Amino acid sequence: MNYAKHEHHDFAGASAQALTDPPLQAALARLTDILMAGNRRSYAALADSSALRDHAKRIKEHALAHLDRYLEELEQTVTKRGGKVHWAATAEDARQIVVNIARQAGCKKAVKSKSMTSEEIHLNPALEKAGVEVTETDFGEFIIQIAGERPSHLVAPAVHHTRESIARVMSHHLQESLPDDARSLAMTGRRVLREKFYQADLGITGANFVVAQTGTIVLVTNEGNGRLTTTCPRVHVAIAGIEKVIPRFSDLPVFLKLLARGATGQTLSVYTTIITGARQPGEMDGPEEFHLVLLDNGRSKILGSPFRESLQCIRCGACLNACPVYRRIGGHAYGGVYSGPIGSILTPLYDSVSLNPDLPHASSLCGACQAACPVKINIPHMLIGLRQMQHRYKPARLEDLAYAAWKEVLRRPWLYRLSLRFAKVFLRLFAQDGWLRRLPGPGSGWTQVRDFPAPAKRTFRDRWKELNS
Amino acid sequence: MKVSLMVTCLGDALFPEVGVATVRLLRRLGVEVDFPAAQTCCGQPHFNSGYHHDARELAKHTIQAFANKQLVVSPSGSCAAMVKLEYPELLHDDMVWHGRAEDLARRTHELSDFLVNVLKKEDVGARLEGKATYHMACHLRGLGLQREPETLLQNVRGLQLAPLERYDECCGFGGSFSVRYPGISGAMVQDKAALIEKTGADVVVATDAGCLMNIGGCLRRRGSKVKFMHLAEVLNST
Amino acid sequence: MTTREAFLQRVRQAVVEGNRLTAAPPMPERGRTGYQGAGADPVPRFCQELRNAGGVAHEAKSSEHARAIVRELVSTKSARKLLLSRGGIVERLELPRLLRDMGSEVLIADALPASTKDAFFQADLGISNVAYLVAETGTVVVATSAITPPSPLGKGVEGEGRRVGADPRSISLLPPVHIAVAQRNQILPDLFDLFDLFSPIGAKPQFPPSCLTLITGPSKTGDIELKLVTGVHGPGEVHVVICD
Repeated sequence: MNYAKHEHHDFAGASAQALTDPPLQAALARLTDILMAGNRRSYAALADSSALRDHAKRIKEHALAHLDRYLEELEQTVTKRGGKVHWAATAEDARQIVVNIARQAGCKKAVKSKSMTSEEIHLNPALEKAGVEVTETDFGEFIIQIAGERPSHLVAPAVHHTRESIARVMSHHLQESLPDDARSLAMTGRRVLREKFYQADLGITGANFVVAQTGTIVLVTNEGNGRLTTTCPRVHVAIAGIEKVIPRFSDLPVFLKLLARGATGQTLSVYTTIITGARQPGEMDGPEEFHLVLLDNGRSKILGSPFRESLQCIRCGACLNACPVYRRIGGHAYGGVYSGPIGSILTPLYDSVSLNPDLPHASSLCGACQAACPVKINIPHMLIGLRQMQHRYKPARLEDLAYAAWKEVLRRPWLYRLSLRFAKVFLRLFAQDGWLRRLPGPGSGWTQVRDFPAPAKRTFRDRWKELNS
Repeated sequence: MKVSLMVTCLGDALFPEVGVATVRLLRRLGVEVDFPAAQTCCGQPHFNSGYHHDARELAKHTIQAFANKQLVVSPSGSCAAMVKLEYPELLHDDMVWHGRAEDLARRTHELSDFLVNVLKKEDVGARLEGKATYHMACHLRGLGLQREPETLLQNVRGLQLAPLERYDECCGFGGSFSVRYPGISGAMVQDKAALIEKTGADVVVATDAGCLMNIGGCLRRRGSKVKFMHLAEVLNST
Repeated sequence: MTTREAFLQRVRQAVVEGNRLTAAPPMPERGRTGYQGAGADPVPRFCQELRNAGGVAHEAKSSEHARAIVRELVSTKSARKLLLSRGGIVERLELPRLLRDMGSEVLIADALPASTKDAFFQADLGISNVAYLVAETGTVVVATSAITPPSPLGKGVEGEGRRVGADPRSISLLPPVHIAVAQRNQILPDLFDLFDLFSPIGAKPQFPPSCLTLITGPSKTGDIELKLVTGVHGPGEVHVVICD
């Protein structure tokens, strides 16, 4: 299966394939090294960054705990500024709403600024079916689109590509032979996409933040495609998950100070575009219509569950960059739209817990994700929570029994000592200098690249007596 | 001062010399040590695998085993983190046990935490000739012990400390993770072993049995000359 | 029930259920948390941060010096078609006249006819006023309509209550080179200072402009092997001329 093209539930197969893909391994190492160094450097350089991160988390907690109220306030403020709010309960609803907006406004050519939410609802095929040409304008997303693939990172969607493969994909698409140096590829992208911006009549974006108090949406980009998408076409549609709502305008800088630092180590991304309504009378450019599509698609279910904290995510990608597992397997292995540690939580919750049994286990629970997260989401805890939930959904009988039996042993010190003795006698039969070269059954994977220590001749318990004599 | 040793199940079965070194080190520093014999395992494997009911029973067992009101010292950040960070939450809704869990959480210290922050000793008078490098166990991040082990190592006479690239990246152990995803876990530990070898150190030092069995097992398989030691063993060398 | 009502009803119910599991905290007060400031003189900090972001800062000692800097930039870029802001410092420095005298084609952005699209897309260089600069991050703030800074927090161009800024989005976006001209007293030390302008304590917040843009250096992409390339969509060069 081509894991880069299709969403899937084959974590084991996809991760095994990724591990034996040298160019991908090199790309992932480069990405995580560079971006993590930036994350650490910039948190360290920001005075009281830890307290600011706590503050950001509390704003999100508060906003989510009063989300109904803030959504209503948001609807009022957007409307007051001449915009229109649309309520999309499901991905299907959201697709239909956007298609209808395009139809009513007579739009035929759409440009899109990078938006994971639009990936989540699979918007592009629906628009194309309705006769609207869609062009992804983030350079990485553009490459992904013309290659027919899915993004493999929240903020660096084409990280799995090399210079050479990008040149190949673009040359094929444009039917001209392009050199494979970064600058000329990017400049070709500029030329091609500028033409698209010139022609476009519909601009589609996500929203990094939505402010209830003022009806404002915020787009953060480094390339400027978010600005072009909200400047050139006459209609602007923003699609935002309901969890993106924050209460006040003055809360924005709290998140802006953290977002880019967490994501790339920049003090601020190049462009922060803060949009409140459509073009106002007397202004020379900008869209004439502004639509805000608010998406639920499973979020309200999470809001009322023990996994609410996952809705605090601001999609910076820091947890991916920090994760030693992501570093080894990349984004496509996770199967869903969202990858990495946060994806291992969101995909089971949005898609299905039972269809994604592997994702909550795809973590050594090392906690590097939480340490890097701008809002300190306790990702390890939520992964454990999902593991707990799995037992309810699909009881893995044998495993349940094994853990229960083990627990019974551990609760009885005499039985524990006895089992230890048996294990020791048995395992030492196969050991050389106290190490096992091969384990049977579930342990066989372990001994593929490492030895396993056999129990010591005498346990600590045995030696405790002599320590006291 | 008198403390109870939480040796941990891996420490008991696989690396008893770590427990021995911990006891000798603490006694050399004038600390009385006892070993509550009822202790078995803190229940972290059950907790991490989502068997919270089982984990709760093991937490209660452990709380009872250490009910003697003394400070508890463990040569494992992982087990100390389980007790300090997870027990209170795990037993949050239990009227009887929540308070006891919080009490044990307060009394429990990982070894380097105990030495530096309770005994206020950054130099324990150890001597070990050679070149070492230090791998940070993941649970020390959770416990906020970012500098304690290195401070202690810097003060070991004769020991040269070589910095380890990505010293705080997980070695790939992660308990059941290493069994469930041996490919990913194996790639992680291979990278770790290669970075350790690159430092030119004679020995890699860590603070947890999990890391040591994983990294040590990999170094052995690679036929590496680099040895592995627990922090307690280094600090107990004179 | 309408779609809207059903939607909100689900959220209401989830809020109640979730709030049973975790406490619903009150809105936290920020106080000084995370305020970085910029020291006694924000100018060097601004210039340093702008340089870090890949932009170029020019400190002009006089109006004449500022004009010379702009003239020099326009001629080294061989820019023919220039897009300029109306009013503000751009006009006070008499840049339109100056640049026309140099033989450039000067378009004042908000004096163009309705079919301005082509003019915007064809310009070689944009010269804009700024609403503010932010020292903490090396950021140029441009706005589509005037911001009226509230008293006493406001630090307008010329005293309290003075309306500042009003530029079409395109000037700082479409041409490959962007020159922003600003005055020293437009520098705010911290990002918080900018956003606080819109929510004076105790007063009803004013709506921000239809588009408020924070520009921090030239357009960048790292999508090709994380190698930074500038100018992929927005301007590849950003110059800020700071006048006394």
